[in-house]
Amino acid sequence: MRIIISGKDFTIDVPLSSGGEGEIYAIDHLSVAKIYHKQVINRERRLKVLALCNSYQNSISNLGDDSFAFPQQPAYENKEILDFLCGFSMQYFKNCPTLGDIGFNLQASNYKYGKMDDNRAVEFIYNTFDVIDRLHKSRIILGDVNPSNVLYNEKLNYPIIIDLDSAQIGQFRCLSWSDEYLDPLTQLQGKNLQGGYNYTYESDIFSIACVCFEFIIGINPFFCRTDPSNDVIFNKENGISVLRYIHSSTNNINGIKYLSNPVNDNIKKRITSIKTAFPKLYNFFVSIFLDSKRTSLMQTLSRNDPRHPAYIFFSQSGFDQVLKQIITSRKAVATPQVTQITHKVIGSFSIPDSGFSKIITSVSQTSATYATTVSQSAFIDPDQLNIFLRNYGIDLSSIIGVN
Amino acid sequence: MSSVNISTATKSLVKDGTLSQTAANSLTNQSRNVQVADVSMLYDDPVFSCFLIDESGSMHPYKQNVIDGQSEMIQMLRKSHKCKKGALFVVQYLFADSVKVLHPFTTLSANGSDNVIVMNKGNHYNPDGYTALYKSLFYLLQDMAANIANAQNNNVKSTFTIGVITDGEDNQGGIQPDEIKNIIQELQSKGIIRSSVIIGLTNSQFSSSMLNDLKNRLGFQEAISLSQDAKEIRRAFVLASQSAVSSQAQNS
Repeated sequence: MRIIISGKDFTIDVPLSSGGEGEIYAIDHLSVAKIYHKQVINRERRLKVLALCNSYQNSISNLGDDSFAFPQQPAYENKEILDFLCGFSMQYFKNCPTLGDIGFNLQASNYKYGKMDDNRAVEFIYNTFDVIDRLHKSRIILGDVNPSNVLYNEKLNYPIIIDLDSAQIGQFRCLSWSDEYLDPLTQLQGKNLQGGYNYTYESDIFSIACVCFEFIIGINPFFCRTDPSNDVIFNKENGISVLRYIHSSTNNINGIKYLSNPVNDNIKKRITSIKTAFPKLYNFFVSIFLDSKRTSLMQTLSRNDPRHPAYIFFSQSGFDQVLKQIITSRKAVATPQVTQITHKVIGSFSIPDSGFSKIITSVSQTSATYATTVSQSAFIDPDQLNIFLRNYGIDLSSIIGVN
Repeated sequence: MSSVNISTATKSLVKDGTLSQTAANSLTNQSRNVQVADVSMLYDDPVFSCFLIDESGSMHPYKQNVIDGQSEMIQMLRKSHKCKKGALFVVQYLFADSVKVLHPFTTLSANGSDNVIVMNKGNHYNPDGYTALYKSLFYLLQDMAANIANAQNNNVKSTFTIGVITDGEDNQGGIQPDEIKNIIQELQSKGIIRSSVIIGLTNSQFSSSMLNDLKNRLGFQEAISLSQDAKEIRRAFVLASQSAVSSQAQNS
């Protein structure tokens, strides 16, 4: 096949790989071309490719080109006009395996890629969510996420997101989906008039969580051997994840029994091992697959962790100092009073009748409850602060750990 | 490799509601033992990809193209995610006067260490004779029934894809196409067959409309018409491999 990219002719023959939407061909050492299957190319897709190629410079200046394979130049068949647009060129990430090539292999009890270990894998998962957060900040929703469109950059231990041409960007829809990784909440809403799904940032979080779970555990989170037997898609639609059985220590969910056999036992062993070594990551998976939450893994990090999405805001805006002052003020108001009252109770039987007697009664019942009551009633945040927090969607109680 | 008798398999499938008694009766007409795939230690839902390749005399001019295309198809399947998870099984049949099983359902290995036959290694493809398409499809459906039952016994849910590459209509008979259609549609409605495609290499004796009629007669989901030249034959195998492993759907 002869294609034209930036006015230059290329002859392509044997594809490097083939997927549901098209085939990938090497153009030179630096670039590959994705050529769509004839049955999937249409006017909307052509316009999307053109728009993405036009915004290429902007995209890489915002997001860099280490982790993203943005469409670079349109590829045409025979003539350089829209109706002949058949694909595009993009950066060639040579020797970068897909996640399916390197993830944990439960049968062999090791990673398919020799240099991978659990610590590195966990770091990679955080890096993956970091990359997804960056995409989301640029208002790019991946939509169709599966282990084949995430490559591994060994040098940086970072992912490379490919198939960005199918992402949901602005007016351009994502036309494809992967059944085994599709968010059931998105699926529940049904398909839109065009026959696709309306993806959200949250649906990306779910799909990436599925892919990462599979990468580190070795199975799709909805695979398990049960009686009666069901496939991953059925289990996902019905909220039957392997974690539900293991985390809840139950062998029966809605009459579907988790069997004791070598496969299930091996899965349980692996999950337990990750739970012990990386409890935060385990809890994140529980929040996604059991509690139906859709919060990014990065938000579960400590706010003092430079990887936390709000770290820069808090550390550089001066807001951290404001928070410290608030905490100090609260302590100054709440704590001494409790100390003083306790002291008076111990040191003197003569208490002025100024309401202290009631407080002391309450202290004698539950001192902990009392301390909280005093701290809440004694310090009132200024209105301006409350407005500021509300406008920026900041939950102060979750930050400073006081209700 | 263990084997399962068709009668035993269909009884079990009727019992759990996977097959109707009518479909089971059809399949047990010529009962036999079938070698079944080992799914006991899988960590993913297995997908069984079934390929039927026309080996009738009319394919003779395109012998080398078929051999090259089939080899390329297997290479593409090896790169699929399902294959990397060790859950992709392949069965290949050649059909002419009768059906020839290239190999029973076999796990396809990503690194090539498997028993799947690649036709550019050895003398496997020698087009000659007529087109026993119906008999071959019936044979495949029996093999499928045995493997579905075996997977259920192992508490896993299996799905199948069927890709047929042919340049003509059946001219051998022996099985009524209605029987095939009923079974295929039953398995499709239960989600067990996830895709079925006939790729027709059309010519003066086998037009696109004949291909479409054939598709409807057999209850297949899709018919793709390609011409009978080297490039298109290779393309037929590429399309067959895509239909086998594409878990993602597209809306064009």
